[in-house]
Amino acid sequence: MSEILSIFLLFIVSVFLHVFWCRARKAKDLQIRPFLFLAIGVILLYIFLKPAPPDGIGSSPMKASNAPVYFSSLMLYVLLIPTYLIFYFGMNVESPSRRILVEVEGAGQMTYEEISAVIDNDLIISPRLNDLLKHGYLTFEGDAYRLTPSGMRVAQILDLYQRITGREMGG
Amino acid sequence: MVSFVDQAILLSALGAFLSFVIIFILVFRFVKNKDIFKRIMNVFGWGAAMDILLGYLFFSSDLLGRQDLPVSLSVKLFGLAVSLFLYGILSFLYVLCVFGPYESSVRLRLIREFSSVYPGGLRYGELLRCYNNRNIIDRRLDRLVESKELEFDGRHYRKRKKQSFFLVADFFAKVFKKITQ
Repeated sequence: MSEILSIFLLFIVSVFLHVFWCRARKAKDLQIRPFLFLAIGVILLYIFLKPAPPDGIGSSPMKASNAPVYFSSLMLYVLLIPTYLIFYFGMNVESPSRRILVEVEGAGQMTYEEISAVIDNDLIISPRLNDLLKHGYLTFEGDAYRLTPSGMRVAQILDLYQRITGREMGG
Repeated sequence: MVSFVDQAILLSALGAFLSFVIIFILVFRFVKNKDIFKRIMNVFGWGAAMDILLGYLFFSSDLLGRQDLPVSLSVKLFGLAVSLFLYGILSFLYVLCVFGPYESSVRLRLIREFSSVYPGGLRYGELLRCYNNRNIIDRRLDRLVESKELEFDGRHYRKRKKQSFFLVADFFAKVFKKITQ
């Protein structure tokens, strides 16, 4: 069961390597792909360098306390990767809820009008429209924004999710 | 080679997560926007209880055909802890990567607004008539008041809790940003 501890340590090593990478590159954009390469590289290195277990371990009549938990450990490692990426991505994205709390905390108290004056369309809608343009989900032709075929595919997935869950449109 | 303990951990975590997703989809058909935080915790609790039950069944019975394998209490507890941890991450990822973006992503809502007029387009002003900062703020204020992050006296919003998930996340995000840059 030492595999679980090893996996945590390996994951911490991957995160440290990523932090060093980000510092060395002084990159302003998200470094998601380098993290994936580092995380996969670290686990592959561990798998190849780790000595093979003796035959029979983990099966009857061996003691369960010695049973290896390779697949649980591997699954844990795989799941920690998107968990870290969510945190890393969230660090670089402005959440409207977080912004409301920060603004209200800074001012002590705020009316609805004061909140909507601070969190206006230029802050909350325009940057996201630009993101969608940049990533090819929207085009800007003439004076109107239009959805591209790849944007439409995302919309169809959302429609399907809505049919399954029965939730009204979010946002 | 998958050991008996490995199988028990994985099956109980995946079984609990599956029950979490099914109950989540069924329950959230009827949950209002403002009750989301509370209901997520309720459904998460249900899944955790399922995990403990499944863990108990897999470790204690012969469901996996390994009754002859002696399993001490410490191994059972350790396996259960790992299984609960796996289930916790899986449900966290479901909420943050599947449910969360659908429910609160402004970008995805924009895509859906444009899809309603596809293959036509919308001018910026037309878009703002359908969806704007006020829609976004309304939904979030409802949730923040209901989850007791904010209090509302009929005119003013004030912070209710000294610390909140969002502010703690904001603090760590700032620290991490400083480290990585």
